[in-house]
Order: sequence, then C-alpha cells, then structure tokens
Amino acid sequence: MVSERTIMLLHYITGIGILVAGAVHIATVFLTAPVEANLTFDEAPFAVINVYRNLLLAVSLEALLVMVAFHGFNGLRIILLELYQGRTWEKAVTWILTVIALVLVVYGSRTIILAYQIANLG
Amino acid sequence: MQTQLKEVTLRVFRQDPKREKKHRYQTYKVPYRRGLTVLDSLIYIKENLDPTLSIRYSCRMASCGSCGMMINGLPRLACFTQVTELKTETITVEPLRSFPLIKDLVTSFDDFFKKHHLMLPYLIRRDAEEQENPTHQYLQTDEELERYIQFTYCIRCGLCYAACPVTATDRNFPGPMALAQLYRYYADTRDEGGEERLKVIDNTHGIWRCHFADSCSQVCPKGVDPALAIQLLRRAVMFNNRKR
Ligand code: SF4
Ligand code: FES
Repeated sequence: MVSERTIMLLHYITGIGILVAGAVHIATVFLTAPVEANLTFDEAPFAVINVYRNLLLAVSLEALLVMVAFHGFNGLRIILLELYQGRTWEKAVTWILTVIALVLVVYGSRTIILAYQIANLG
Repeated sequence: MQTQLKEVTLRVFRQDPKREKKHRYQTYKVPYRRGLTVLDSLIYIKENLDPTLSIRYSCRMASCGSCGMMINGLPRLACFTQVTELKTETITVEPLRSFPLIKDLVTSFDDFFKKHHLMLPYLIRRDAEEQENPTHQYLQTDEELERYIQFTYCIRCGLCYAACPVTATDRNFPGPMALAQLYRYYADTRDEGGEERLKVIDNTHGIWRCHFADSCSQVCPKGVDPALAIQLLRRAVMFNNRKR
C-alpha cells in the first residue's frame, strides 16, 4: 500500500502543478489559438485543437489531466473518509474513486492524442 | 455598570441519556457577586437551587482541565470564565461538543484519554535498561527546552476537541491535544522514539486530516497552540527533519 505521506506529498505537488500547468494551458489557448471574429461555430473547436500541434503543449495538457484527476479524486476521498469511517467503506471509496479516475485519465488521454493527430494531419 | 448587576441568568442544558431521549434547557437565577465565574454559578445552583444538576470540576483555577463546557456556544473552562466577560443577559451552558454525554454538563473523556495514550506520551530510550534505570541526568539547553515547553502546558481539558471540525466528523482522527502531545515528545532531545512516533500518525485518519481551521488554538486556555504543533509535526513526517 502507498503510504499516506506519499499520497499527501503527491497531493501538494499536484496542487502546485495544476496552478502552473493550468496557467500555461489557459495562456496558450487564449494567446495562441487563431481565434478570429469570423470563425464559424464549427471551425472554432479546430482552432483550439490546432494549438496542440505542438507536442510540448499536448504533453502539458496530458500532465494537467493526470494532476487534476489525482488531486481532485484524492480530495474527494479525503472528504468521504472524513464523513464516515469503517474498513469496508474506506476500501470501497478508495477503489471506486481510483477506477473512476483511471477511466477519466484514459478517456481524456485518448482525446488529447486524437486532437494531436488531427492537428498534425491538418 | 457592573455594580448594578444583581443576578445572572443561566440557561443550562439538561439531559440524562439513560432516561431521557431529548435534552431540555432549564433556567436558573444566581445572585451576582464580584468575580463570579460560570463554575461558581453552577456550584451555587447545585448547592442551593437544584441538587440534581451534574457538573464536573476540581481545581477551580484552570489547572485540572475538568470543567470544560460550551459557554454561549464556545468551548471554555467554566472556572476561568467570569460571567461579566460574556456580556450577555443570559448565559447558555451546554456540555462539550464532540464528547459523548454522561449527564447534563458532564461528558465522557474515555476516548480522549485513549487517543492521548496512543501517542506514546512518555520519553522513549532505545536502550531498555537505560529507560528503566537511567544512569545519568539528561541535560538540555534553554534552546532545546524552548522547542517543546509550550506544548507541555496542556491540561487535557478537551476544549480543542470541542472546537475542531475534523474531530467532530472523523472519530478516528487523533485530535489536536493528542497530536500536540506527540510533537511535544518528538521535539524533546531526550527522546529516541522518533520513527516509532511518526508511524502512529502517518495514516488515513492521522495527521494529514487536519484542515488547519486553527480553532483548537483559538480556544485553548493555556496557549498551547496545538495547530502549530500539528503543522510542525506534518513537516516532520514529510521530511523527517528532527533536529538534534
Ligand atoms: S491543547 Fe489546550 S485546549 Fe487542547 S486539551 Fe490541551 S490545554 Fe485543553
Ligand atoms: S475546575 Fe480545574 S480547570 Fe476548571
């Protein structure tokens, strides 16, 4: 089992990481996406996807996804463990939240990879 | 202003959980005298108005920690709270929150003392023989003493538990007093139980569950500042940075 100390160390690191990667993400989307007044509703998403032509930005988005999933679901775990105590409850909370977080990361990664491919295929 | 005060009104929580399902409040009027504390008022009620009222106290001088209760919604020592400092016409007195009720204003401290005991509140020496039969004095410098002296002032009154939002919801959380006492021994240069101590609190319901609400330190009548001890302890668990 991973010690609570390690989990909390990761919790703090991901908290700071989210601030940094989140700022980079927002800044890149707002500053570099070729958003023009005449973009149609259908074109707009592709303009944003186009930002992820850059591998570094795609990787930073992936990092943001992993960090948000870990930090968010661990936060939820802490709240739930504090609300109610019991071995079965604790195991159920930990496992269910881990599975949901993993599914979210896998689905999100798939989206990021697709966006990267679409952007690079043109 | 104060000389005009003839009597004080106390609204006291009453319930015997063995017989009554619901609590009620009973109002008493107590003659005022200079320096009257909430505990004095309760003793007056018990001696003159209603002997069925249950209260717990001992030293009457903020030393034993047995008269903790909710006074006007805040955890306080009844012997250390003068009625005039509350500045309300009616004083509401209730049992300490987060403690199981025994009767009226008396709560059970069993779990509280168990948690304290779990923190190994004594000096540990690796040499078992030395632990039992010390061969010399263990001297400390002033600076070494200052690292933990503040945390030794704790009188185990439980006010910090009644104020702590985590203790209120997580019954496995050791609580401010216990964590502060663990730090008190951890920071003591005569102690060698470092790792062993940290293991006790590095778990799902341990040190990490503190949200740093700081309410424990706000209500502590002895200036112990358990919130500070918890943060120092957290740093110790994270980096194992025991100074020697
Ligand atoms: S830390 Fe303060 S409030 Fe808590 S038990 Fe000790 S003296 Fe009471
Ligand atoms: S009676 Fe001892 S602390 Fe109040």
